[in-house]
Amino acid sequence: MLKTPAAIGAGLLLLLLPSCGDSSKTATLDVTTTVAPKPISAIRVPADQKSIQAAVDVAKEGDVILVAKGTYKESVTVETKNLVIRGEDRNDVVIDGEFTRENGIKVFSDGVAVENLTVKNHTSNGIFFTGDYGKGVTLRGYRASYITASNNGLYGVYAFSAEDGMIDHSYGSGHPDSAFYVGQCKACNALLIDDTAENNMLGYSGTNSTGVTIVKSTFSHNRAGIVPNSLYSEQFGPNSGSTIVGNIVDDNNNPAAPDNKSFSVAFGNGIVVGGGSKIVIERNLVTNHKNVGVIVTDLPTSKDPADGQEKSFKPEGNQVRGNTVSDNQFDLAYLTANFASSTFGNCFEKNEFTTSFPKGIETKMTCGADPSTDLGDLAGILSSVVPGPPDIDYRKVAAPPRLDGMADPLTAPAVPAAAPPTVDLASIAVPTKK
Amino acid sequence: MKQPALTRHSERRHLGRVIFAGVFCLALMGCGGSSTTATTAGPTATYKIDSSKYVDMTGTATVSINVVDNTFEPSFIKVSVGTKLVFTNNGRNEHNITAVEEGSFTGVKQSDFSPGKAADITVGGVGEYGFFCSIHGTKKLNGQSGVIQVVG
Repeated sequence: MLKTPAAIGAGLLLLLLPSCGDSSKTATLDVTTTVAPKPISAIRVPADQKSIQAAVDVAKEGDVILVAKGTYKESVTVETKNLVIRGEDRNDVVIDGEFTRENGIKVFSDGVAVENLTVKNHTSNGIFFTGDYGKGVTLRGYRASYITASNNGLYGVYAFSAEDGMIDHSYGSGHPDSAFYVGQCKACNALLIDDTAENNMLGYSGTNSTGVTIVKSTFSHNRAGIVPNSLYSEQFGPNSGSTIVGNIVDDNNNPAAPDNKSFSVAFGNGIVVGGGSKIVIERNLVTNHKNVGVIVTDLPTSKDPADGQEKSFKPEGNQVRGNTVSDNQFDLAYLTANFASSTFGNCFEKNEFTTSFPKGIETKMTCGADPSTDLGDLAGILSSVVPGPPDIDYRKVAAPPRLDGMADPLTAPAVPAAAPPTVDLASIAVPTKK
Repeated sequence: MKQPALTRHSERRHLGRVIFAGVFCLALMGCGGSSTTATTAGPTATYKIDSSKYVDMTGTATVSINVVDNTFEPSFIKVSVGTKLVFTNNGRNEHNITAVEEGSFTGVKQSDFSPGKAADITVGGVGEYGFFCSIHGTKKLNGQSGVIQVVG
């Protein structure tokens, strides 16, 4: 382990002390050789380049850009591979869109990591990673670590048509869509871990994103918590496999969160599987929702460009297991509005819960049960839905708190983004409320 | 597998439609949105795009380009001089149409091209007209972007 300069200084002091004391005594010193952590080699902003964009423009593939404390009123476009853009201080390196610029940082190249800074007040997105599926281009490798994203007009961290990504130790608030979004990827291989989303329409949204893992994160005080979904309006549907384990999903009924109307119906729900398949929801703590704690449904509908008809995707093979779910109008629910009242392989088992729709959900929809079981009329739950309150201006959502940043941003090795690490899901227990 | 019980589920479908009015509205606007017309100039730039990537629509008076989140469908279009291009925002998000080469044609502002709206562009003479959405693409034709190749 590297020692800090202070520790090295103390070592030198100990070496000097014997000469100051009783020379007749023999001192034995156990001297450990230490190496001062070297500052990372980087293009420094504003010391080397006046703006972040100027640094990006001169950077070569694999370079590191280290941004000093300050407010940067610019929009950054990255088209060079494997850059690491790091702030020296998560809270005091701020890219401020002043509600006039569209994106804080938009990334079109593979392997780029953005670390330890704040992106706020943009009309569209805080950080945007994207390929272009229309041209068959998929961005590969992206990472947002220790990011604070707030009060951006759509998403906080937005990964679109991108694979092999990670969003970690990041925080999003005040977004009229979601704090974190991963979408339009057939083999997303994305990991969200140790993140927090508050005061957004949705904490997480994932449209047509197969292969997203969301673990050990907190989604609270949004209009809805975690919403993997499928829409005909985008490609690669349906969402056919996400894993949601060990998260805290609490009190997502927030009337003071903005709402761009695209998923207003999700208000007051904790985890919503909207037309997804093969999604595993396991060992989460889901509490205090005006509608449902965990719901599996075929809604919402979207227009199929092939025939112009409004359709929804059939939810199939989703598993809701071992969650602790309490203090919701319905702790667990299953609803198909546009398909027969069959289980379609969706199942609920070993959850701690009190209420469900339909009643006795774990008996009727136990894992391994006959997928054609008739569950009766599921329409009743719709009359119980508590509608969402009116939209509020995303620009007026309270600023986020100061948050812990990277431990050693000046010295920690800078590593470009790559495929995320594998998480030992089995070791993750149901969390307790913080 | 059972077939959907249409009668039994009709009420559910109705209620679902009410609840998802916002989603419906976004989708429906694509069918009947307003239209704006943009004027043209002329390009000098050329782009290194493989000719096989162009969708050949020469000889067609009006060409429709589907604008979705976050791409143009198609992205590379080959048209004849005088062709009218109709861009329609069928996405859920805001988009715009911006000329890569400033002044080569007049683009469409985001404020005039919200979801559901359409915009007509008639580009000028023979040449290659690069375009991109400034929110989701770049002048280097990364992300949401494309080229209109006009031939005589």
